[in-house]
Amino acid sequence: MSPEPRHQALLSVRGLGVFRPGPGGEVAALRDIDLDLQPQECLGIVGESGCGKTQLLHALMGLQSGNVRLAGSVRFRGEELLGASAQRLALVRGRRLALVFQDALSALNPYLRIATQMTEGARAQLGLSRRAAWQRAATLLESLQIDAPARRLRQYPHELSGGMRQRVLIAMALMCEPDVLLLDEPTTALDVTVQAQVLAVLRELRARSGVAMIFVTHDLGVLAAIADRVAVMYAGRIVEQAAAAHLYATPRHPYTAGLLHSMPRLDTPLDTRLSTIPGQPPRSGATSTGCAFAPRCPLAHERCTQLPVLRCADNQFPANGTVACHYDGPAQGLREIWP
Amino acid sequence: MNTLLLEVRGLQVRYPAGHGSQAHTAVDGVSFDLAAGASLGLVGESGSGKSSIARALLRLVPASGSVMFEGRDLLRLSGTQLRATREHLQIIFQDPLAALDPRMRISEIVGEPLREFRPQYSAAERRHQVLRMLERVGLDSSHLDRYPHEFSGGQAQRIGIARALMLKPRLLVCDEPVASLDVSITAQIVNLLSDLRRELDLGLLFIAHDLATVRQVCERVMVLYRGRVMEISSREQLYTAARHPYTRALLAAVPVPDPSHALPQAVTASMPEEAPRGKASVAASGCVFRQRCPQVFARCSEETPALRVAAGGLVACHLP
Ligand SMILES: Nc1ncnc2c1ncn2[C@@H]1O[C@H](COP(=O)(O)OP(=O)(O)OP(=O)(O)O)[C@@H](O)[C@H]1O
Ligand code: SF4
Ligand code: SF4
Ligand SMILES: [Mg+2]
Repeated sequence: MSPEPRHQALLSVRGLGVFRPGPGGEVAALRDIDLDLQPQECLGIVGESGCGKTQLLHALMGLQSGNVRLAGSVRFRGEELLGASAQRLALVRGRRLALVFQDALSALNPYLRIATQMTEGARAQLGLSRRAAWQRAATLLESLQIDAPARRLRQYPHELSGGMRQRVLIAMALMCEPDVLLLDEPTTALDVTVQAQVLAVLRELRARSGVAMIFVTHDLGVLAAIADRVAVMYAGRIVEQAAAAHLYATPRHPYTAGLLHSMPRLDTPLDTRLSTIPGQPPRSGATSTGCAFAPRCPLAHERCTQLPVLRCADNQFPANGTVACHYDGPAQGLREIWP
Repeated sequence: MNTLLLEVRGLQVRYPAGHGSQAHTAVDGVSFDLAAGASLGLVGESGSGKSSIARALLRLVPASGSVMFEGRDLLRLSGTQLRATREHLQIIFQDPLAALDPRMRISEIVGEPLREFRPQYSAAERRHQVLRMLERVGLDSSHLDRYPHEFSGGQAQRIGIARALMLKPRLLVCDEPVASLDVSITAQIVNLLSDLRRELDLGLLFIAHDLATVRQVCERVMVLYRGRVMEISSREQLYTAARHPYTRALLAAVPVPDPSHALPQAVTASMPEEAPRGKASVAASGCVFRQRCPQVFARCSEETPALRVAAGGLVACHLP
């Protein structure tokens, strides 16, 4: 477990684990997750499919099904949420934390007008009148650069474009003025041009309202445009966490370095061959005693059969980030390991 | 060697009216060439007609115009003639698992084209060739007798590639071959396709919505907007000095994994973010991109810009 943060974090996660029953006993979907989200901060979480990103957001929101066991602690402004009363949870999770679901099309009910879907929750939670809730919905849509919001409110989801639907979902999550917005792959299904617009809208929202965000994606490119800090997940664990500027410039985990070198990107010289990480990510729920990345890691060593714990990436600058890897050579060394 | 492999002229794909949708033109007068062994990328936003072009070449949708391939017009071939061209023209799709028959073993799936087009081969010969191809795409003999569900997405895409290349085709059409793969797997498949193209002198028509991926694979790039060609340029030209405002907008929107890099840009703040939905059939005259173009001027709504020759390629825009 990492030391307690100096300032009180808005959201503080310690040792979070998500376990579900499997044929041969419990299977861990997530393990030993430690995270702090500071007020106004945007924390990016990146990882490949099945690494547990969505599970993490759902665990924070208390959305897992009945047979799932949670371990550890999730504190919101110091108050423990795991095991709190349903009443208390409804208040925090409905209002202070809001989740924007992954798939904008299926997250909206095709048979209900946008207005109905946007205002229902807020009217129940905040006791707003119909008129006040409509007013708030229209203002939010407008602030997310949707033109003619009053007309949009009367429309059905299929009448909106993909980018608009995504922004409607974001607006919906903002109806109760949450302190934390959890976003699950909010731009993955969008064209790059629309993605750029949604990212701009989210940046503007942060600057204006100061809402803190946890932004989950598989795309390190997208996070570079929005995250202050990035956590990299692999096989249900966080393997590296650092300020964005550090993570992209000097990744400390072989996996992070590999991802960065294997991404097609526009800022490399033409004819740069992509590096490749051999093999494939483990299936979700697969168990390994040592480092889960070892089968794919060029630096794997005997010591890697022991589980690496998250430690300071750089003892001289502990604030720069944490990494879960036994490699303790210079960070520059990681640049050369990927052919 | 610079012989033409594919010569597409005035390709049009119209979908008839269906449940709740009007008839509309998804591909409108698209022309391009592909030299033997060359690679052409097809990019554009969702709905721009990329897949419709691929489906038209394979006669999976009705189309008009002409598609000359090895001296014959694919759009005018009869069933048996068409079947014969399959030997030289193959396609792989975005969802690799869905493209594989779940009840067949990998050896059967990859060997099927041989069974059909090389009936003279013995079962042993077939198995031998299948194994060699599997090894070439990074799989091995332990995979021969397994079923598709035992494979990950990346492996399934390798199997799809192996099957498509079994008869040594001259043209491989790839419709978003990496769009559903994990980040760490995308690079493996991108490198594999680039290597195979060089080794086998394979013509490649590579469809992707991701301009950074296309940059890795293709020597030339065609940019589509609402079923029309906006620009066809060499890779060098397009990625260093794109000429069409739409191409520039697409490039500016691509995020770069470096926080010190310029932020991805939306087309322009005041413009609609995407093509109006509903009636996708294109306007009678004028530039189809004009509602979103940051550089639009009077002539753009009066006259449709023709595709004209410019340094490093072709561009359809009234700007000089
Ligand atoms: N079978 C069909 N029937 C009717 N319309 C169709 C059909 N297939 C595609 N279309 C329409 O044709 C246009 C072009 O679609 P197409 O699938 O070719 O685009 P695309 O560029 O491949 O898009 P994406 O990036 O989403 O794959 C769109 O307006 C689409 O809605
Ligand atoms: S712990 Fe070992 S195997 Fe795991 S990432 Fe570090 S060096 Fe590689
Ligand atoms: S023709 Fe006019 S509207 Fe079309 S891309 Fe060129 S400048 Fe823009
Ligand atoms: Mg398509």
